[in-house]
Amino acid sequence: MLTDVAIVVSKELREIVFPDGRLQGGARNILVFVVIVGLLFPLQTGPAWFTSWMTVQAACFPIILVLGFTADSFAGERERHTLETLLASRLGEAAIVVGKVLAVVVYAWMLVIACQVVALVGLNVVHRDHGLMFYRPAILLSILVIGFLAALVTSAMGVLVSLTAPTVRAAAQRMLVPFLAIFALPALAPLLLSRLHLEHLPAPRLTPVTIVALVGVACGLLAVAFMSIAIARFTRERAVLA
Amino acid sequence: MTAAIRTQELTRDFGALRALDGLTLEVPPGLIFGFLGPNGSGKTTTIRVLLGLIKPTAGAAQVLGCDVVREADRIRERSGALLEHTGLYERLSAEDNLDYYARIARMREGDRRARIRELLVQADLWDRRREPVGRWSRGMKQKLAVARALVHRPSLVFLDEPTGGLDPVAAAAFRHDLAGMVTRDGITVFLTTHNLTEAEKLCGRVAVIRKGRLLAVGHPDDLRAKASSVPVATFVGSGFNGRVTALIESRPEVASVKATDSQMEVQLRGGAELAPLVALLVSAGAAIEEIRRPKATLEDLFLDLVDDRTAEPESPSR
Repeated sequence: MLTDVAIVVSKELREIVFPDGRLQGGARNILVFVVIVGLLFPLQTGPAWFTSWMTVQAACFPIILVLGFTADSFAGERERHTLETLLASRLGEAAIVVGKVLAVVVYAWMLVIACQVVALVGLNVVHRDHGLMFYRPAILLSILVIGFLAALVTSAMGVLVSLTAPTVRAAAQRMLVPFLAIFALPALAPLLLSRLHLEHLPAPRLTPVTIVALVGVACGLLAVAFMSIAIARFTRERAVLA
Repeated sequence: MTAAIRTQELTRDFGALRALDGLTLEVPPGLIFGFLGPNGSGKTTTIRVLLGLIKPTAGAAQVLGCDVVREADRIRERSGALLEHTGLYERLSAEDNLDYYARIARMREGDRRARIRELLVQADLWDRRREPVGRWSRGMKQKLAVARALVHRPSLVFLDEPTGGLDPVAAAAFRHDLAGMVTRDGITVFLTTHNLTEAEKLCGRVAVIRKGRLLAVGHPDDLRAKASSVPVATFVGSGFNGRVTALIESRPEVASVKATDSQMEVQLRGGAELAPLVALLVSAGAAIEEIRRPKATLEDLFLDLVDDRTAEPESPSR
């Protein structure tokens, strides 16, 4: 199964990185996010980028890209009439689902890492008078772990939605609400609480490390749940007759 | 010799609709088996069941000796398919499309490269192997899709209306390639088509289905012989005057006559012989230069069979 998953991942990545059969379109996507998350955000933040916990949240920004790719995963194959031929091959259903999820995760995670490398270089060049700067280990680890898990949960959710959606457009629309629920609400929670004058309510005092750990565990559990449902739902018969 | 495909009372329902209704047939190995039927007759459903993509509601089927329900993975491993659509990834190049399916089939890298080259050269697509196939003509895509179905050297290939949408030149080239492939590699081809001329030219055996039921199966020549022969004879010559026409019309084997000075079209009753009519015409003074009596084609049989008024399913047949 692992070899089959790797085969699907490499083909999916090829389509993501070379969307028109050329690197041009794919490179444009990558460049936009590298400029925004790898240069603009860090340069606005300054050296604090390496020490602030907000960096972890900002670093996950490229995961927005996952929405489009996962919407396309099954609904796109159905629209372009490639799914039935794929199902007529010897590939197992689980390998197809896992391969499609992991391809997007690998892409998004690599983008998260690429942005941080660019940020590291950019900030060190711009603020060279500060000497050599590097991420606090806890921040860097959190970016890598949360970046991976957030990409995983989004991708798994997207593939599950794409499995049941008749078109790519329908899949993208259906994904927007859960995506906002998972990512935007936690980010907006402090603002909402202050607007509703609820910030004075007793709340457990959590350290950033605990919050990151909780978010990581939640993402992991959700990803496992979404993947399990997607694998259970994806049968040849259901896919062919959908 | 073991049959490549064997079905017994294969049935598939979609809710209240019975798409396959007790289909029993046997496909011998090493030939092109034509599976004919009008739209919605159950051809695609049959292929889907045989590939293990959907399960039968009742009955059984074995493909390459494997049961379609319990051993569907083995069937898909050993067979290739070009389904209703080409199924090509249009953003990928021809080479990448073939490479993907060759890797899925777990072919080794050296073998994979050699096989891809062999197929692309055969299909005359080698020079364009690095282009995304989305920019190609339908004929080129169809050739590539066949190459993809063959990349892992399957012993059985399912082709679902492969010449649909091709221009006559591309379709003829496709038929030529397909026939060559079967002769060269000895594979079995399960071919569904609407093109009866194509079936007549290519297939060593054909089956006709309608509403999921098998109506006829056999060699195209045998089936043509079964077809109600076209009961019309046309005499070309001179002297087909009113007296001669009346004489012919009076014969019991003649249903009707239409005549001009130079031509007489005689509608015959079933099984009538022409020789006595020729003798009668000559003795009545008509000069006959040519007699035309069109032979029944597979199309005649097909139209006979799928005609709602005449269609009666064939008893389970091999």
